Amino acid sequence: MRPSLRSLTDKFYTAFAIFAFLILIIPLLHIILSIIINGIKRLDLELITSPPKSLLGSGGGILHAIVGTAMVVFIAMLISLPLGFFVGLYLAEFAKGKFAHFLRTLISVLAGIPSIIAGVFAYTVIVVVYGFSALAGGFALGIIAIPYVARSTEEALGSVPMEIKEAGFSLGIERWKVVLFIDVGYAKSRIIAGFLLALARVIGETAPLLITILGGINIPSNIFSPANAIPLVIYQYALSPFRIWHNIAWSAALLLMIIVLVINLGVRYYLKIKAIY
Amino acid sequence: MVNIKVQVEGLSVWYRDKQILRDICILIPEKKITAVMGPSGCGKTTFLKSLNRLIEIHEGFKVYGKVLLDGKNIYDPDVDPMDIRARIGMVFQKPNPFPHLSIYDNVVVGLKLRGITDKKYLDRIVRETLEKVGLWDEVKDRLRSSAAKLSGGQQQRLCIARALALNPEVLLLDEPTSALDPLAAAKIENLLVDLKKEYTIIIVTHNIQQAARISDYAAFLYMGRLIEFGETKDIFTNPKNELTEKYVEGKIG
Repeated sequence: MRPSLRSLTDKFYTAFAIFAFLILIIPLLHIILSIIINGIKRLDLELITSPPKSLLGSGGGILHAIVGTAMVVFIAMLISLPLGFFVGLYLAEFAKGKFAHFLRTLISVLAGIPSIIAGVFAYTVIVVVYGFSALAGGFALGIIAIPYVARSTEEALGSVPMEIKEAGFSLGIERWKVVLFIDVGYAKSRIIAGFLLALARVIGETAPLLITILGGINIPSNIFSPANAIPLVIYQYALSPFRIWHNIAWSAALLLMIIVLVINLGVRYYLKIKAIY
Repeated sequence: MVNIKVQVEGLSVWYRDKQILRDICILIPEKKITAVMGPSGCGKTTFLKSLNRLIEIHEGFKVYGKVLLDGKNIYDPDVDPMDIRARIGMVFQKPNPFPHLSIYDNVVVGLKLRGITDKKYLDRIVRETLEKVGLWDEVKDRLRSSAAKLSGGQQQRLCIARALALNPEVLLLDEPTSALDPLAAAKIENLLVDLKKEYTIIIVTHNIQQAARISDYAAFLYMGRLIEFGETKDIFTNPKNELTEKYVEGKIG
């Protein structure tokens, strides 16, 4: 029997879908595999426990960048968590009408701003006053994280069922207490998950750090001193002419990838064990 | 002669431009079970939520008329809706304990958030109310574990305990057994008959048999109007209105 036109069309579109999928997946796999193959060599204890060595010697690590990233991300969270949380809370529970619409648009615009702009802003506000510092970098990443935290908080609170809110109100509890103790409590694990994903989002940011924390090889002693960060080290070492540095850049990329992966998988697992309702 | 606990006078409720309740007048006797029956969409739930001003947390509703609790209109401007909701407790159709709180905290969350922190008092209330709803023996060893782990029937009894913890005068129940299996439903029914010694109970149900079993007074609501109200035995054996008769015979609904 001759294949019908219908089954031919079906086969054609199936083949096309598989082809499109391959186009998408091959570069992704290529990136991941290259990072693993090239990065695994130097992903050792020395990488994460020692600062860089002199240029000509082999070995050395990126402890300075790990400490810098920790500092910068910590400052970013300190800025973005409270601000983003309350903006999200306001949007989910109190904002109505035109102003809410305006605020949501503003959040979307903020989320769409190129991250280098946040860096330039941090430069003019902080670097000009205090110099290149972990604080300036954290400030820039904080601005980038705010819309993510706000949105995920709003979504988490939006998922609280009406029955739960009604139950709260029916106990004669004021609105702000229902919001803070019932709604936020109910959505707690999703809000925390949103925080962590925002952290994973900004930890790999490079551009705004270029003009705020400067880089360098010293472990930052406080938030006002220049610092380095894992993505920045990747950028600087990858552009260098030295083979040894290239290897370290690959390993730093692998390390960063693992950190982001662990955060993402951790969030999934956390939500799963918390999914009692 | 029975005391009147709640007196509803000319209650009309609008949702945007649609009238949900039409000029309802009803006298709810104290420490009795009053059942509000009617087909889906007749306004039963809206009626119930108008009695503790819970309706006001939803947008788009307008309430006209009076609801007198011990002779005082709860919609008067000098009345705090929070106090009304504490005095008139409510239990919902779907068991809705707070899943992020422990069994203990579910019972006392209302008290705690209303500013009562005396641990001894809270402990006592937890024990008393859980005993009252027949849950104490089942959960006394795991008061600190999550309320979400209880069965549906247990959750609903916990919700009743949560409402009772505030020591209300009136208890509103919105089809409290419709999401439960028959055994769990029977437990709740028996519980309500027990509770009427202390509380005025208003229960919305579309289960005619349930109304016949447990209520002392029954109201029949149809398309936003109160068609008939009286002692349950009269409503079921000798209804005055043709619609009521059809409804209790199961011909409409």
